[in-house]
Amino acid sequence: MADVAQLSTSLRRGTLEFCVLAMVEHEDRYGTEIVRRFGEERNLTASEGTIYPLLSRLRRVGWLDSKWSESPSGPPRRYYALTDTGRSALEHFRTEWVSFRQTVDRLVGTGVA
Amino acid sequence: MSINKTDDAVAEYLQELELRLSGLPVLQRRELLADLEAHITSERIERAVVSEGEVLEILERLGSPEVVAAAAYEEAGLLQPAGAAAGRRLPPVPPPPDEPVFRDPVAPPPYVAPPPFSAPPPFVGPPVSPPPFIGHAPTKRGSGNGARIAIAVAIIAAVFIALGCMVGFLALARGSEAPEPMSGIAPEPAATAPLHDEVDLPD
Repeated sequence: MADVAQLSTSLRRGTLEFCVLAMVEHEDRYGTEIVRRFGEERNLTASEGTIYPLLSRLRRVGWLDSKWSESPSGPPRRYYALTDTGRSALEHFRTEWVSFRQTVDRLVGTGVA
Repeated sequence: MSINKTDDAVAEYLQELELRLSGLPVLQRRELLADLEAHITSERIERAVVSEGEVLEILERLGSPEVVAAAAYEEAGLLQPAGAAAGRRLPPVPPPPDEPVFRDPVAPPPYVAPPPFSAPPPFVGPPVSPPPFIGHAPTKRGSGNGARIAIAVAIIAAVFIALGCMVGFLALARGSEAPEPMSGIAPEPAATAPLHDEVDLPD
């Protein structure tokens, strides 16, 4: 059981952040919106609260920008936007991921062909 | 009424998280707490949450303070200090104080008992390696021998009494009938019964 959890953690590490980047690729989104979206993907995030530290890191490394803005209802929202370096990091991940996935599929026997 | 209670739950959650984040740079700590507070508030407003149960659900989806703190340290590239993991003061629900930062947040190890002050891994604890014998041996040698003699006497007495009883019992048994054959007969019916069943079945 612990091994199963460990496996999904390992798979998540290094991929989840690019899913976050992709979420704000075309439009800015606020934290709760992002977190809600990931909350629906149980194999990506077991605890929604762990997304916030991730957003913080992505902002610190300069892949995301954030700014607070008023909301029509409720407290101010912190909107996240993809920066130029974030955008190129995402592009880089996309090409890496495709070849990585193909290699793993071929070796593990999970390929479609 | 219920609003106060739910506010308490949220405040308690954030407070416990803050204690666990004491090892983070102040701005990162403040940022995370503000993010979570905004998250909880907007979830409550946008989902029109009022009952305590629903608020607890929001908190549960966020994950325990322990899990969120572990993620915060990992993302910050810092090791979680043992003191911060334990929450500086004793938390109301004592969690495993030395959960490794790299571990999966989903599976907190339940086996780690919560000894409040032994920070790192189990064996290391210096307070738990005392030499217990040395204190006792010299002072209590005399009385120890006395006790041993008393015990030996008691055992011998018990053996004699037991022997006496057996002798008496045997004498009585010889006087009346010998109960010997019982042991020979008993097993047979048990062994034959299943055989009959098997034989009967095909017919």
